[in-house]
Amino acid sequence: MAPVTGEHGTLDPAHIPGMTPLTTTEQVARIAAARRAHAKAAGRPVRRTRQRGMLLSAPVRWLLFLGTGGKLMASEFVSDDTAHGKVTFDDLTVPVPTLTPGAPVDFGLLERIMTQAHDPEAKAALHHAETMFGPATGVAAVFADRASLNQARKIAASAVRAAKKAPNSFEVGRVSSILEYRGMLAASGRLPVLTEALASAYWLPSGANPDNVEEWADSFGFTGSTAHRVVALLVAANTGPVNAKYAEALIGSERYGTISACFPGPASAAKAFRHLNTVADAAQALADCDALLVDLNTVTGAASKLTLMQGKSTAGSHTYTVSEGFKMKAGAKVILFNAGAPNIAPCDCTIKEVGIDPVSDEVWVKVTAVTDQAKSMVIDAQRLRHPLYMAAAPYLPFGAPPTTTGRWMSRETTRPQRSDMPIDVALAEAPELV
Amino acid sequence: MSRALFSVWSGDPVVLIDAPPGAGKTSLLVDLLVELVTRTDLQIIVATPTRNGAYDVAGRLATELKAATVGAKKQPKVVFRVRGANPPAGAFTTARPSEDRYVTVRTIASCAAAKNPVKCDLMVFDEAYQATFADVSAAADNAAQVVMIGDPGQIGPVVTVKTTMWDQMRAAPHRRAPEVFAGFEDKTLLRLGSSYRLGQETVDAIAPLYDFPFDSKRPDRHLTRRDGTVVPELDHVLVDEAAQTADLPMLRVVATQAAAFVGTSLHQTEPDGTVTVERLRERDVAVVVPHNVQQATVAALLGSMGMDGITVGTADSLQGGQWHAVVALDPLVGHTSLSEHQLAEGRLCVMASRHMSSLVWVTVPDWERRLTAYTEESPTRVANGIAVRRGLTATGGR
Repeated sequence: MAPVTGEHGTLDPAHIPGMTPLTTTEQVARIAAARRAHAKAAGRPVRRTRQRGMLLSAPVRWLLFLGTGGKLMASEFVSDDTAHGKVTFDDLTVPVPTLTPGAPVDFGLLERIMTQAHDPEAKAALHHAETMFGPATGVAAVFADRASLNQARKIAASAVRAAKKAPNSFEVGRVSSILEYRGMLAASGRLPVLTEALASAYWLPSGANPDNVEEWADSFGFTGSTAHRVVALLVAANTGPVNAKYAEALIGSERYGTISACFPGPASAAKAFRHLNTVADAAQALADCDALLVDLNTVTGAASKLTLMQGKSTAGSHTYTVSEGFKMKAGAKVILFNAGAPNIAPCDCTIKEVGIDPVSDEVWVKVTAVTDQAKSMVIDAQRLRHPLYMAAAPYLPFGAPPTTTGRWMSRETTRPQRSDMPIDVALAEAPELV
Repeated sequence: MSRALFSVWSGDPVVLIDAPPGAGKTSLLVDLLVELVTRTDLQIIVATPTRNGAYDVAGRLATELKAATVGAKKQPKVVFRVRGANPPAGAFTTARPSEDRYVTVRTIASCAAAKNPVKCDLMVFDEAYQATFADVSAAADNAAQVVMIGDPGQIGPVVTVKTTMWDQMRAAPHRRAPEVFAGFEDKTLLRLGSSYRLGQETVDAIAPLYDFPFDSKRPDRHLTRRDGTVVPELDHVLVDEAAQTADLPMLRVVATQAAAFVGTSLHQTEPDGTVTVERLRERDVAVVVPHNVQQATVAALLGSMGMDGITVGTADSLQGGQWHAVVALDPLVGHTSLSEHQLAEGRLCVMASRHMSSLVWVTVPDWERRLTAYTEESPTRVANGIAVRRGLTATGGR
């Protein structure tokens, strides 16, 4: 088993006395533990991904959190002239809006928040952290943690049961559907979970609980009012670039999928399911090509480090040895990215051939760069001696799926009229028809 | 085939055809299509889960249609509509609807995602158990009738997202399509009762994975080594218990076993009683592994041995295929703690049923102990997993 080398040191299970080689899961756990130990030594969370952890598609308006006794509370960010103070994080400075005191969330308030967050008329767009509290075209409601989201789901589910035959049962059901669908999404631009966004972007110092928003704020050293601390965490989660192609696919599919999920019946469920998959694939692609996750991703095989084999390149293709754990095959569409120059967007390539070197036992791949951008990336990486990485290309259909008639959504189907059955066809079945 | 043809001609809106491995699903599909294309004016689309599947069906259909219409003034066409792929020999990329009689072959995904509705009288789904209800219902949205052919014992569609919102739904979008369509009131369910690919030993081994009985009607067929000894239908090789998933020496064993099949003699008894003997070529051999990383390494190893004609793939990618000799790597190898991936019955079934003549099952000595540890958690799957593996390892062994 090859040693795993990252910016925080080298891990070689084979050199640990008495240890059998580690499984992939164990290796991942060890790397995570080492990173968190590094964060502890540094005295604050350290970056896990280069990209931001939260993909806001609307300004943040609401914060939902569990108060004392596990009651769901909501605080509203009011962006006005009375904004007191600013939060600075890295190179970002964001004014702190007023955060209203937490109010207990009943179903009525939850419905209002969800309607604002998933207003079907609101256009989904990827906003930057600077507009986190800007003018609203739809709003985002941030859950402090997963427990808050689950509590909101319980409140909505309870309301659905109570309103089963009430005239407003569709509206009540819609709120529950939004929350249930959110519960299945890999990430969200409208209803993000703050602790999960932070855990995506940072390694929390070991010993601290990544599900606890207070511990995140403490570990960053954020002080002051609750509003200051929360806004500082939001800014931290939003700091960093984002791969627009995958982020927009994620946000677009969340929007269309949520709309579909709100309607009953298998046709709507089918549409919502397909968008759910796109959200997951886009989130996976974002992680697979993140420059800071390449160590972890090469262990799991989600990404492979490429080393150019000298003298094997031709005009249209390049041959590389790949890191251990490589799991793609000839003909596969892949994304190529330069971890040494993460500002360059990943580009699409195709694996032409796979083989193994008879002397070194190293697996090699021949890659065809299909676009000019990919060709430039390959040449630049070679010139600057930057390592190239490869990950599987996601399938990301964008936009609303085609409208369907729902032909197969009912168990009762209509029979097409067929005429003139030939006698041989009819007779062949005669014994069974008797 | 006659029953399926009768059902389609009768206008049955949903026709489901369940089959065990090697029952002749593709032959049935092709024969049915030849009848329908040559004797009706139905607009027909064949939809497959994979591009390779579409290519194979289109090629075979083109050959059979040509043979069935020799001497006809105008021969029906097979239109192969898979983006970025060339059609197989005998198939076309387009047809003139006003002049040509044709059948279209596409992927299910392309039918489901098409911006313009894919209209037809009949949509035939090959390997239907590999597709979700969401995809099949969208693909067939403008089809008057559907026929679904598939093997219920095989691997279903890969669903990696949470589906809690729909788990209680009868027509849940993530369920295997034929399972949902089986609940329709006006459906016809047909079952094929014999395997023509697998010998009785293998049929007996995988029987616990099916809820309907079937037997072997395979013609006499076997392999012999260069020294004349007969290669058993089922053989097994044990590898080191400590081997990891991507362990190179272990994967070298797998590759070597596959390479050893090349050049063995294949003895087949034809229907008229004559016996033919021929050498096995690389293309007659396949390696089925559970993980992509193993697929990449074994393919590379075989490539370096000059054996790149041997097919290597994961169970998911090779289901639907058949080869005379197969080497299959037990999903338990490399795992002492088991997950859904190792316990899945569909994966086990696919890996144990791709061979037409011989299978070498590569496993670890303590496979039964590894499974038994999960009896409480997953009793049926563990019991079936043990029963199948006992069948696979009952004879041979190295």
